[in-house]
Parts: sequence; structure tokens; C-alpha cells
Amino acid sequence: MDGSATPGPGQAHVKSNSMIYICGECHGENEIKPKDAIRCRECGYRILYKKRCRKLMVYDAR
Amino acid sequence: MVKKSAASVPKAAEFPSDEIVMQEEVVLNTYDECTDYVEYDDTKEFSIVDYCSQIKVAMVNESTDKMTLEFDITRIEAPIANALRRILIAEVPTMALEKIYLYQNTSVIQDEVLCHRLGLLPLRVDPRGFQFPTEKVVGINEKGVDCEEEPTGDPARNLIFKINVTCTKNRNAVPTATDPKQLYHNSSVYSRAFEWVPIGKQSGNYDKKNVPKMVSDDILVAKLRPGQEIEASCHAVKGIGRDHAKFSPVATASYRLLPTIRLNAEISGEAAERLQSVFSEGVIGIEKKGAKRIAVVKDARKDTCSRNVFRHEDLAKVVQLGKNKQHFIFSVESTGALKSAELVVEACKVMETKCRSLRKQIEALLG
Repeated sequence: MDGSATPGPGQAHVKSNSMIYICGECHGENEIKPKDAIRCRECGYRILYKKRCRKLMVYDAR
Repeated sequence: MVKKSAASVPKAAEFPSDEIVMQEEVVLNTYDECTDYVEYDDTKEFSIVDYCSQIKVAMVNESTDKMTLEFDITRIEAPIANALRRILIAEVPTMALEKIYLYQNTSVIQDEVLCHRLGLLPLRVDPRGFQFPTEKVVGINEKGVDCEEEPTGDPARNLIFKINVTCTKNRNAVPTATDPKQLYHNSSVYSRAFEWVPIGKQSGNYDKKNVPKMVSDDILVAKLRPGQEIEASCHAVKGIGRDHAKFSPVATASYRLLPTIRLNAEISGEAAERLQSVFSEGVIGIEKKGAKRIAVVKDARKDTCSRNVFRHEDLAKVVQLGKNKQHFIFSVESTGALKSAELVVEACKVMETKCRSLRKQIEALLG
């Protein structure tokens, strides 16, 4: 779950405080650290969306 | 249509008692007239041995892949035939995906909808080697969708399939391409994307050619676009169709009665050809008799019982339509887990178990 969960205020991310964002234009994945420019590396688009975290959910197949 | 006079309508009594009479607007001599049991006779004591000895089963048609089967059972009654049909649909067990441990789903199809679709995929695995799950299915509303850890699964009760697909852009695509299949990799997720993960000693139970998988490789599960992914682990359990339709082993299991057609007079010439045209193909044949061409009943089984013949006033007077009450034509279409013939045997076993349990309860009641 590292790198994808929202860093809370009391939560210190020691290893890497980068997050994955998805570009609103090219849908490419961008790894962005705090204070980085909010800008897609591929196409330069400035609207980015947070990627859904890889959290286990269980569903009944019915 | 001209209304016929009452005199031309044959009375039900003219027909054998084991036949349903089909007239233009009524069906006579049905089961509910006296009793469901056709050969009901107060004077004789019922003998189960005599009853069973006259039942005949005949295979009529089996497809080459053995997935569809047509067979006849004669000298039984509708309640028993119907019980067999209902057991085939709702009580013969199969395996189906039941719990979906979803790790990632960034596709446009919602989690709940996707998981429901996964549950409906037919699995090609023999359910007879598995046991029923120990605990009842706990709905997601009671426990919530949150889950700390995926259970390992019981080798005697579960089958685990994993799926992990990500759609990516195809760098080698022709610039003029517009088809998503050429533009992207994994733009469509098919049932072949599932990979069976053996648990415990399960891998020893199946030879290479017969590993558990989906019945068909080409079932479309979802569509993806670049960057979207689906990752899940699916646990299959054994269940019955009464619980959920995904467990039903048959696409259809139905029966019909054998139609009977009687021609009470010689029909020749133009009328014979007209008679042939009002029935389904192959029902009526035309034979040469001297200089005349007369109509004969070639294969009444093929009749759909549309009663179209009664629209022709001249033909209606001489044609008698009926159905044999004791001749059941079963049609069983398997979804793929077991062969149709095996399903029928399994259904009979289920019926036997039910009868035994009923007998036990009656015996307990009588002391």
C-alpha cells in the first residue's frame, strides 16, 4: 500500500513520500513528490487525478 | 375462420385415456381430470417393482461434444418428470466463483458489477471432487467489503483463479489504426486471462489437459483502455442452483410430451400438400398409392403442436391431434462442467437421496 495511500498528518513517510497521479489528458501515470510541479511529465497537462489505492476489498460474486 | 358445428368435434372419450386431446381451442383429457397417476386403479395394490419395470429410457440424440442431450422416458407421470427437470435446474451442484478478493480495479466497470459478472462465468471442473463450503455465505452488507487478508482456501472446498491484466498502448500500431485491438494491448479482458492457482495438493488431481478453467476462453469480461487494470483473486465454491443461478449446471432442461397425429381419412392431392404445409417440416410425408399421392404421418415427434391444421375446415374434420401422457421427451443442455448424460445421472442420485430422507422421516414419525 506504500506510495498510494494518502499520507495523514501524523503519519511520517520515511521511505518515499511520492504519490502516483494519473494525467487527465494522456492517462499516463506520474510519480510526484511534494513541492514538485503539478504537471504531467508526458504531455504537460496540469490536471492530475489520484490513482486508486491497491487495497484489498472482498465482494460476493452474486 | 368458420366455427365448426359441435357434431364434428370428436369427444374426449373416443381417445385412449393416456392421451391428451388437442382441439382447436381446448385441451381435453389433461392430468387434472381425475388424478396425476394415469394408471390409477383402486382394485389393485400398487407394486413398485411392476411400476419400475415398465419405465423405459431411450437416448435419442446426443451432440458430438456431449453437451446437449435428448432422451425419452416412457411410462412415468408428470410429477416425476417434473421433479427430474427441477432437480437438474436447481439441485445438481457445480462450482462457481463466489468470493472475489479485488486488489485493483481502475476500469470503468464498477467493482460490484464486475464481481457479479465474474460469478456468472461457467467453470469447467468436475464438482464431484469437492465438498460444500462449511460456512454459509456472509453477504458483503453484513461483514463489509473491507478485508485484512485473503484466506488461503481449503483444497477440498475451494478453487482459486487469479487475474491480473493491465491495458497498455501498442507502440507498434499502424498510425492509421482505429481498432482498439490494434491500438492497445489487453483492450478486452477475456475469460482466458484467468489463471488457476492450485492450493495444497490440488495440482496432483488434474492432468495437464484437464486443468480447471473457464468453459470457454472467449467470454468477454470487461474492456480496458491504457492505464486501466484489473487485479483480483477469485475463490470458487460448490453450490446449487437453488441458492444462485450461477450454480445451475444446465442452460435449459425441459421436457415435452410426444405428439400424436391421426389421419382418420385418406387425404390426397392438393389437400395432402396443404396438410404437409400446415405442419412443421418432416412431420407429414407424401406417399404414392397407385395414381394418387396420399399424406401419411412420417414423424409426429417433430410437430410443434401449433394446431395450425384446425384453421383448414376440411382437414380439421379428419385430423386428430393429441399428446402421449406417458412419453416424456427430455432435452438437457449442459453449461459445460459435466456432460449432459452425467447431469441426468447426478439428478437421479439427488432425487434418490431426497426420497431416502423422506422415507427416514416418515419411518421416524410412525415409530
